[in-house]
Amino acid sequence: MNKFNVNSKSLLVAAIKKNILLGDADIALDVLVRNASPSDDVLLQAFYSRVALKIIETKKDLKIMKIVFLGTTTLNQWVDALRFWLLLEGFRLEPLIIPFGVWRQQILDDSSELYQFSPDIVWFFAQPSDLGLDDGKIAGLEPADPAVSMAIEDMLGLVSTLSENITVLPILNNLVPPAFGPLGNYEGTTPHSISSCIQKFNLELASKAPCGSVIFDIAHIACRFGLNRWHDYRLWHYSRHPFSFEVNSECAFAAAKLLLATRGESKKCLVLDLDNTIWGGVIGDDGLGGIRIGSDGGASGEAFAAFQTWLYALKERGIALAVCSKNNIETAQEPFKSKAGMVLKLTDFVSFKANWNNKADNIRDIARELNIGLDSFVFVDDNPAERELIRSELPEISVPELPADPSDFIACLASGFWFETVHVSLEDRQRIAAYQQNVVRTKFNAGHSNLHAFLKGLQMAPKWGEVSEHSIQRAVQLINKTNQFHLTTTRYTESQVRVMMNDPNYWVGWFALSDRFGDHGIISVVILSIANNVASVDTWCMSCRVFSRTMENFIFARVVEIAKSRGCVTIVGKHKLTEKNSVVNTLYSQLGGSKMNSDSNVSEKIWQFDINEAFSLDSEYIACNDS
Amino acid sequence: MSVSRADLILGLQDIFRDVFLDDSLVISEETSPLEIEEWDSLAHITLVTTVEKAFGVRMSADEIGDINNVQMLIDVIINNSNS
Repeated sequence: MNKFNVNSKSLLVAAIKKNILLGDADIALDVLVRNASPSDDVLLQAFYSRVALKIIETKKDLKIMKIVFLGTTTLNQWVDALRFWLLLEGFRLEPLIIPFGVWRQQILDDSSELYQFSPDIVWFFAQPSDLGLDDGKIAGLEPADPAVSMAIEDMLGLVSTLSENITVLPILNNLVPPAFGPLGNYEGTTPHSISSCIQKFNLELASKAPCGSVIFDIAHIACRFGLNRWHDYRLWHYSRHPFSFEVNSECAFAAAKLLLATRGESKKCLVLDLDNTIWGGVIGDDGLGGIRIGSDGGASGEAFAAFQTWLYALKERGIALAVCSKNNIETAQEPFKSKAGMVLKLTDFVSFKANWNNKADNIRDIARELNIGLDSFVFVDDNPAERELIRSELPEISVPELPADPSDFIACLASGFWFETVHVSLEDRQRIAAYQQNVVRTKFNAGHSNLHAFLKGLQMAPKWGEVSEHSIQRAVQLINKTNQFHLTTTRYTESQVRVMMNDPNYWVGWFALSDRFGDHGIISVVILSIANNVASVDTWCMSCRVFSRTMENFIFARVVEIAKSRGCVTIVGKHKLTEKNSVVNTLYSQLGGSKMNSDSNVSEKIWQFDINEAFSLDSEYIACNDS
Repeated sequence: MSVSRADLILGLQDIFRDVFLDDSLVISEETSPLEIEEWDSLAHITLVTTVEKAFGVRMSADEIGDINNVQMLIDVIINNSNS
């Protein structure tokens, strides 16, 4: 159990309180970085805000962001939440909230508190009511164009005065429409309704805002929640809070990510797994015809295609896409070349790692090739074990918890706000080509990460036994579906397997594996045929989900025990070479076998093991318990 | 099935302890902002919205404004859960 991962929120609170009491703000902060979510409930958010103040007191190495907030609403809780989310990004927010109703005076008077504070940023947190856009006069049918132009002039005039007096980054909220305009459906028909005026204001603000200012699209954030959930008119009337507490932290989270973008600290590269991440199924096992992508792939195929389209748009605006997949390179690239329905092409990626090395090393290579920091990466993989490897090996990388349904992938990535930008330039759009050239130029040496600690931390627990009526269907499925880790490429029907099960000259066994992320179920099948003191491995296949975890060592150690108990002195293993099973090319030599045929051209290699030779091949990571 | 005022106080005490970050805080019906220094208008909003969530009630703007001790908070919880 990683000491930084906390399972329940009450444990989280306890862990943070303890570390703060001990004066260990760094650990408290690390726990928060790994566990705090903007969707946590209101009570927890209030706790985060208070904790942020305590941590900031003791942490001296934070970057500083000085922001003046101008508005006529109660922003204290929102600024508290913003302080918290910025803290998680390594910033100390130094806020100055200008009291209600004096923001115009503060801007116009060049000796005011605002200017004395010498902020980096001035944030205009305007409400429709500040700009005359909630008035009864524009509730209806009279032309309201003057109201919108006056509001725009008012806003931009203030920004321009500010910029004459001080060099700051102005951030301007656009306006959130009301949940219930008085005209109902007709609000969207007449250009004179409050809702239409606010839309028009937002469009004009976007086109007229001065170069060097940034718009916080709070209207869009409100729409994501739904206007009815966004507004809490009770809080508005009682305490002038601009929105519901339910959305307070999420809104602050989005704002924090926008502030990072103004500092150029958004993510630059998205590293993608392939199987079940950008298409459905496993290319190495299911083949070109079996993977799901596009309209031929059913609903999930459509969802994966939509995800690819979204990724393509990111790439078009300058986010580098890279692949990191446990696959053979030829197999992994096949869908990009010849599968209908694929949106992404090979040329859309700046780097394409398809191999059997561990993913942390691959990502280090990609970072070196692109010459960008690891903190600029987001890693997307459907496999929780790979995600945990990256989290523990490369904690600076952002690793979203990918949901099970590919329809939710876009929402999952979008909710991290990792790719915020304040403008898209021609240079951004050409950046991908520059990255690609970088990769061609860079030579690198493969690094080595601490695989040992990762495998140990997985807490793998095996089970195994002889195939019975309970397990025969899964065993047959594995034998017939597996292409990659399948040494002899045998295919058997259920009745053929049943015959071997009942034949004393065969041992038909299954192996299952679970780890702390869940149960993989039966992931391997072995069939031994036993005659004349020799055990021949007739079939050995294993699911790609558990590759590179030393499960093969564990299985083979059990095979040796079984062969011994049947009086064998020798084990013979065959490897029938195919295009897809090169992952097992070196398996038997790694397990300590001697090659019996040395001709390198043969398509079937035979290996022999002397049982009485002591070889210590059992996995040190997989505990051998009850079977 | 009605919850007693004593039960409510116990539930509220947990919330007060969380909101005011004081694990040893003990409250009574008479507890008010006069006793708890941190109970200012902003903490009041946090307190009220937390109580709403915990007890599944919704208070009106006026009720939020009128509450100035634990006794009134309990009254409002009871009134709103009966309706």
